[in-house]
Amino acid sequence: MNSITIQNNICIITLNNKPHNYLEQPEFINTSVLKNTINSNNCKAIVITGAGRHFSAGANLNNLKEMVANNILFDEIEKGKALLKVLKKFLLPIIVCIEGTCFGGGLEIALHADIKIASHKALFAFPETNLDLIPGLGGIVNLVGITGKSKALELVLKGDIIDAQTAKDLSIIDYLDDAKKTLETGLNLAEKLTQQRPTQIIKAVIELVRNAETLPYDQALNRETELFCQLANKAMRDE
Amino acid sequence: MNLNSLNWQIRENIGFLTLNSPPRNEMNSLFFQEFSYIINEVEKSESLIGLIIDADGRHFSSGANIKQLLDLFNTDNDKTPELLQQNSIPFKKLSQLEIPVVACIKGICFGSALELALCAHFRIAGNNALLSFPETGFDIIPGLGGIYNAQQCIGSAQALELVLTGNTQSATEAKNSGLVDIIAPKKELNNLAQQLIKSCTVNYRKELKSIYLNK
Repeated sequence: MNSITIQNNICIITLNNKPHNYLEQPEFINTSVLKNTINSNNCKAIVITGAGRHFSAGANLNNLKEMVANNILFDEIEKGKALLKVLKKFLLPIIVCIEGTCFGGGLEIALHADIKIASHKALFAFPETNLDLIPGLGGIVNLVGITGKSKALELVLKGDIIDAQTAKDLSIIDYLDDAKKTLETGLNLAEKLTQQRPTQIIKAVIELVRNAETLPYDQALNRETELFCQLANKAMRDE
Repeated sequence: MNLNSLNWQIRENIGFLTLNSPPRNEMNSLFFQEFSYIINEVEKSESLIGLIIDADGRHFSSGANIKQLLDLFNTDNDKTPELLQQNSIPFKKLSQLEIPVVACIKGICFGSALELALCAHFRIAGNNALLSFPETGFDIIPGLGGIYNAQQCIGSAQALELVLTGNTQSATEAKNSGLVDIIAPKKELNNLAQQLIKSCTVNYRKELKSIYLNK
């Protein structure tokens, strides 16, 4: 079962449904449990990893069919989307550590991260269109933002598997790592980024980096000034 | 305007803006006033084909004076001090100029100085260059577009690390991360910058415009 653990103010979400870590439902971790855990432990970073040899091979297709039969697919996907939204709303660095396969829904989760670390043996794909489906957890939107339209089209429509180096060249991955080392690297990085910084600084920086990905220049800059002033005022008051 | 913290020259239609209060070339309120004045002149000019920003002495600049900066803040409210708003205007104008802007970075380039360099369209660094955003170590953040421009330049993962750790990057590290475009011996920086500007065609203006219009 997928789990949430805490280690040195870092929240670790482990996809655990071995060997392939198929996602039984789009809401892969209980949203309110996650909220409570992060808030009550003063977490400064979120690390997402897979148990065993793989990150995740994506959705469990039989479950999807069952959801369709029971007419609950839409609601279940909305719950999954809500979870991913909540993950981002904490304004903490999200780091994914990817070993082995990272397909479909697994890749959609990974694309929500700020920092993506993968083993050089990892494999990536959006195989959905092979099954006459499409990625349904924001995968296409996020992929276009990262690789641009033409590459995203190719990856989604062809459904081909790409290796870690190709994923790195396309900026789907930020850092390549040795096999079986990604979690350790991710935890060290989470620690290095956050250990000496108060939470409000981490949140401001995360918000502004994400703004730079999505907002127009003027809007992003106005928010930067606003946050700068709040923090400078606080620094003065604390002096 | 009488310039005290900057030197401003035009040769062969290239503007040379030199930070001129070594050794630190600190970016204090006088600097911002004079810098704003020059950028307005550059913006109005129809003959300039490029702008080079460099510095006298061993270092580019140690950035803003943090004490002076924090003194701008009234401890009673979270309003933006007017001076800070004013300071950010020339930085924004610089990045939106339609002529190539090249920053020549040697020695130290910290904080607001790195923000300034990131507003340039190209960064050429000397072998001895050191770049960092030390702000978060003082419980503040870069506030002149530094985070935005760093993300655009090196991507989210590396920008997060640069800003949150406050670690210093050497010229080689900065070249690898993409924070600077070219490394060269520091005596050659200015010549390289001139060559770069002369190699930019008329299309540069158009292409640059399309980038900003798309954002």
